[in-house]
Amino acid sequence: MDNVHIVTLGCHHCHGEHLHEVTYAGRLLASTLCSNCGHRIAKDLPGLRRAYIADVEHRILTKPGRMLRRVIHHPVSFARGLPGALLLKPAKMEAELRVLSGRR
Amino acid sequence: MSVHAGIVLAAGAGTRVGNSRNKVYLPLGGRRIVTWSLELFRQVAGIGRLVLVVRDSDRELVAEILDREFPDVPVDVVTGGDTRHESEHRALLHLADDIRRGEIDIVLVHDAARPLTPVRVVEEVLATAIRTGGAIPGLPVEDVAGVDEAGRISESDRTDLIRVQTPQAFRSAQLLAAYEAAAADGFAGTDTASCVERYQGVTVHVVAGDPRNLKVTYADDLFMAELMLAASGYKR
Repeated sequence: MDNVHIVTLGCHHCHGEHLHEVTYAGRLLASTLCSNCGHRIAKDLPGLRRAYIADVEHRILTKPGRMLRRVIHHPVSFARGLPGALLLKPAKMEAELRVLSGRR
Repeated sequence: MSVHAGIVLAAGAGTRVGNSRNKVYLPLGGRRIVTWSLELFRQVAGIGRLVLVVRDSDRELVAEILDREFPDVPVDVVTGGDTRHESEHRALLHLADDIRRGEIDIVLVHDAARPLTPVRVVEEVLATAIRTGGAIPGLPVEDVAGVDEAGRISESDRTDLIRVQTPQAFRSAQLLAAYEAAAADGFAGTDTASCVERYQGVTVHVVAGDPRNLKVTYADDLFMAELMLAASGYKR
């Protein structure tokens, strides 16, 4: 999953529905930003970091099971996608760490 | 033997600016919002048919999501229309042959943007629809007041107002007939219940909704939804 998504959401600050940038750190919601008024809702960084570490632990523990499921159900697409996924992993991790450092 | 069918509406009749993605495809607790909504129906006994209504342009993404997050569960993906009513109609047309053969008893219609609906709500709506023909979940509206023509708070009793939620459930044959009659008339209801009431005269019963059954509409709702999922251990 990408860590930044652009969707239309309601904004309580400027009212009406506007494009929002929704940013994630891994599987966790980090912030939303209204493109119309710039109103930003964000989790506090120390809390987000704590939750992220717990989530990464969970992701690592469940990864073998998730990979096995994909190997069983879609061996071909799994094999095809694996090299690309491995190559992209460092960039994904870097994007997550950028969010956690407050630079995104 | 007949089953019940669950329709999840993800075609997004609401405002969509530019080429932004439908909010129901946002991740929430490791799965997309729409997946949580489908998962809800999967957990209710008797619902043996799932229909997901999407925009044509989202079909590729939806196939990928279902493959990754909802494997082993057959889901019929149907292209929706420009309005909620039209999307419901298309989903019903997709099920029409099975409905006419008596293979589908109750049809439940749910907003994909309500990922946290408690299973209890669906079970109660379903049980009531089986018994009476039609049911919707609703919450009493407590923070409204009537205002008279002079702008003064009215003394009138407001206990008759409810905030309507989904899923809404109806006997399939009546629901299909209502939408066929509405199509012939050019009528578009605001929700499922309004169409069935108008064309089939079904008395729609209200069962207790749930405050957790929030509809992701505002940016804040995403944070609230994630918090509630975390509190439940990311389980339904």
